[in-house]
Formats: sequence, C-alpha cells, structure tokens
Amino acid sequence: MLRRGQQLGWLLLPLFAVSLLAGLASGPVQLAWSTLFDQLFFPDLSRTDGVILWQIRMPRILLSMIVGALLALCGTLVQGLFRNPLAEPGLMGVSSGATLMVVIVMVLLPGLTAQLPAWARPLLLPLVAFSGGLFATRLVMLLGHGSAYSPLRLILAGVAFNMVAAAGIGLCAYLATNEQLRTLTFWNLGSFSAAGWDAVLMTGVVLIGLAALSMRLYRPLNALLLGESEARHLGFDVPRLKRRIVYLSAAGVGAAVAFTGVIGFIGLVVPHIVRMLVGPDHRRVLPLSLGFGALLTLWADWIARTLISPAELPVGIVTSLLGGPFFIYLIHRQRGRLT
Amino acid sequence: MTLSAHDISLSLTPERTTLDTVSIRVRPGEVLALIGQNGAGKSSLLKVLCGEYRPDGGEVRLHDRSLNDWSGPDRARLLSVLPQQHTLNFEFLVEDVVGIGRYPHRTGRRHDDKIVREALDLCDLLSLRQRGISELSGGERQRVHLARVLAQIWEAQPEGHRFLLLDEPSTGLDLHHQQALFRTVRQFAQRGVGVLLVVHDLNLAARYADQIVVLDQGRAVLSGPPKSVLTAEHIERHFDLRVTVQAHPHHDCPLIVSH
Repeated sequence: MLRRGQQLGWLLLPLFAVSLLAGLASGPVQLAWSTLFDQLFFPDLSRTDGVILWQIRMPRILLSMIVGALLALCGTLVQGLFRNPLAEPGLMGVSSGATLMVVIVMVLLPGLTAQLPAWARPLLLPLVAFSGGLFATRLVMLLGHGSAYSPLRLILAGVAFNMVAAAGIGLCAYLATNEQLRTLTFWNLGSFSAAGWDAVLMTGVVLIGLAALSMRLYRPLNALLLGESEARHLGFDVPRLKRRIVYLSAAGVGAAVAFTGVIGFIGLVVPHIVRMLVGPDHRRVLPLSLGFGALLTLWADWIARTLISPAELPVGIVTSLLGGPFFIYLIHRQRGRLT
Repeated sequence: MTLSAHDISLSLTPERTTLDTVSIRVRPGEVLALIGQNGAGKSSLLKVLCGEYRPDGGEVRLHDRSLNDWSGPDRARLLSVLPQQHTLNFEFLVEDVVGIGRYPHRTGRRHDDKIVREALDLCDLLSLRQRGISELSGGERQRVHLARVLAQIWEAQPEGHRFLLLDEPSTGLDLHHQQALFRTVRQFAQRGVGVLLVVHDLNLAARYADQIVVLDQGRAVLSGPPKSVLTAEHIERHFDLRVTVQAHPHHDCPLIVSH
C-alpha cells in the first residue's frame, strides 16, 4: 500500500503539469501554445498576453491549487478528529463564522473600508473572515466542551452555531443593497476571480506551515482512528491533540475562505477519494490529499471559468454540483456496509 | 517494581460509590484475574489503573513513581491496555493496526515490522495480515487488537517491568480461541510481564490466573490464589450463585459447576 501511495504521488506530477498548462492557455482570451511558452520563459508584461498570463491567470491558478490543498488537508484532519468519514471542517462553524463576520462588516459598517489607508483596504475582508472563522471555532469549542469532551457535543454545538450564523447572514442579506448582495454571493459560493499575487503569497505561507505541522501528526491521527482511549493508551495527549487539530483546520479553512469565499465539498470529498485509493493510513492520506485537493480545485475552477465563457460561474456551484451527488453516493455506500 | 493501586476511591456519579478504598498489586510474571458481578467496579478499577479515570482518593503507582508523573510515551512503553470495545470505521489492514502498537517506540521501521510479524504469529493471524479489518469476524478483530497491545510492550524496557491490562478479552471468542488467548497471555506473563485481566468466566480465571481478586460493590473483598478464593461458599456470597467446586480432572485447579 505504501508503494502504491508513492506511485500515485508520482502519477500526480504529469497530471499537474498538463492541467496547469491547459488552465493557463484557456480562458476568454485563448493563448496559443507558442505564446504561452514564450511568456512563461520570457515574461513580457508590456504585451497583453503577458499581463493576462502573469497578472490574471497565473495567480488565479496558483490560488485555486493552494486553496484546494488547504481545504482537502483540513477535511482530512477533521475527519480524523471525528473518526467519521462524513465530517467536514464547516461542521465546526469556520466557514459560516467567516461569512457572517464579512457580511456584518460589509452591510452594517459600509463606511469602514473608506476609513482605512489604501494599502490596507484589500486586506480588510480577508482579515475579518479569518478572525471570524477562528472566533466561531473557539465558540463552538467552548459550547461543545462539556464534562465529557465528546465529538458528538462538538458536532451539535457546530450545528447550532451554523443555524444561528445562517440566520444572521440571511438578516444581513435582507438589509443589503443590490451591490452588496453581489459581493455576498461571492462569499457564499466562492470564486477565484479576485485572485492576486498577495492572496497567493498569504495562503501559500499558511499552506506550507499547516502542511508541515499536520504531516507530523500522522501517528496520533492514526491512533485516534482506533478510539480516544486507545490513543491515550498509546501515549498520546488526546485533549491537546484534538485542540491542535481544531485550530489547525480552522486556520486553514479561515485562510481559504478569507480570499475565495466558501467552497464546498472539496474538504469532504477529497480525503474520501484518497482513502479509497490508498487506505486510511494518514502517512499516505495527508500528502495525497494535498495533491488531489489542488488538482480537483484547479479543474473545478477551469470548468467554472470556461463553461459559460466569457462570463463565469462561482466555483462553489461547480464543486457543489459535482460534490453533492458524490456525497449521496458515499452515504449510500456506507449504509450498505453498516447493514 | 509493580503496578499498584493504593486505597482507590472513585464515584462516577454523586449518588453511588464505584470503588471504595480498593488496593491491588500486579506483579511482574503473574496473571491477576479481577472477577465480580456486573457493576462491581472491575472495569472502573482497570481504567483507574491505566490512568483513564482519575480516582477521587488514593494513588496508582507504576514502579517507584505515581502514574500521573509518567509522560505519555514513557508510560505507553511499559503499560498497554486492551479495552472492551473497538469501533474502527476506517478500513485499515490487519498489519497496519498491529503496527500502530509500535507508535510509542522509536525503534525503526525494520525492527517494528519484525515485531509486528511476531505478534501476528503469536495471535495466529499471519494468514490474515493483508486483510482489511472490516472483512474479519468479531473474534478475529479482537485478536488483532490483542496483537496490537502485545506489540506495544513486546520487548523488555530499561525503565522496568511491563504490564498488560485486558478488559474482558475473551468476549466474543469461541471456545478454542478463548483458550488460545489465555494461553498466549500466560506465555506473555512468563516473559516477566505483569497481567491484569477482567474476566467473567470463573473457570478461565481458575485455570489461568495466579492470583484472583474479587470485587463486590466497589470493594476488594477477597484475594489470593484460585484454590483459596474460588470456594463454593465465597461464590455463593459474592456472586449470588450456588455452585459445586471440584478438582479439575486434567489440571491442578478448581472446576466450578453451577447448580
């Protein structure tokens, strides 16, 4: 199985190369292969081709890959934490908390952006989203932390928080102006259209840190799959481990949501696909989730921006459209195994 | 050099005392069976002994130190525990599950693989090692987890003797595998490992245990070798059951037949 994991890893590389090139070439303005390679090796920003490639498509594609990898990694962590292959990071309120904060700032404090210095303006909403996500997670952790610290309590607290947040978002949407509503759609359904190099840089740093930290957790994560007592008997500090997983995944999803809005199903589906291919051992699942998450999101974004080109769909619609049926299939399969 | 509990008191709910000043000592090389009726506090005592429950009073000591003073990995290299139930929703291979037992050690992959093989062999699982855990029967799964906890304390450690705690390990096993499991555990004890097991079958306790402790309503009421503890009078008093105790026809131990 380990060898199979490595083989799959190598197989991803050419897939990445092809998908990257295809993604860079296609769009409202089709770039010829010769132009594409010319610009790749000798960037010339005085030409339109160069601007399209380096200012628009490259950061967008990189951002979609980074965000996909982040979401898939966080999904793997959370499914390990809950010992449930149907869990996803949104369960703990990260996404809805981030969206709620953004909506509140946008609709109730519309003058805030104008008060800030110019350089800080594009950072306002990402920061608000990130802190909203972390705050929501902290709240859910506090609510779910009873005398017995059980995953079930955490899920129930998350469900309750998500409902309240949805109500808050709905209320703000009711109060919003037309233009605000459009931005709201962006947060709710996700999009990479606002991608710039600053977003790539910031999410990239988060991804590298997160990947390094979670890769070291593969043993305790595997032990946790056996059960919390079992992990404890194997010498792991289970409460600390659980806190770490929650905050790592909140930071990852928070960073992703901050720049691209809520993109569903990647965090749920990718770890599942990887586990079907190489089994549940986190030593293989963690790194392969990164790769598959990046690849699938790259493809989803490619569909989102070419399907009705020159207009584009929110990428969240594409992932949900493909992910929803897959989710139903998963539930169906699980029921088959349980009975 | 023992695993010992001193005057342990525990109340899981405010109304009821689960354990009442229980003292117990597990010695290296010895199999100690914990018996008693349902709700007598056997599993709770086991959970106190491995640190999962913190007692309200009293102290658990592993060798010369309080159990709480041991770091997680240090403790795990000396003390392994087989809980009563296993829920594993993920399709691990048999050898992967047993390999998890080596996580507290830093002995290298090749060495760990060798130990995993030996543990699988001892538990009669070598032919199943590449199978997925969900394909196995309940009894086979129980043996996989036994192999895992054995792999965890497979080798002698410089810090001291090793201990193995088993909570009703024979549940769900057929007669052949019950005997096989207890023989395995016995063999393991002979390597200098102290074993404590919670068991319901008095005849299994009689045959394989060196020491027996009877718990009754949270108190350790009797302890000693099987022949002195398992008498008709004791069993009637603490198990509410009328029995005849005979000499076992093939082994040097009591045989209990209920009326």
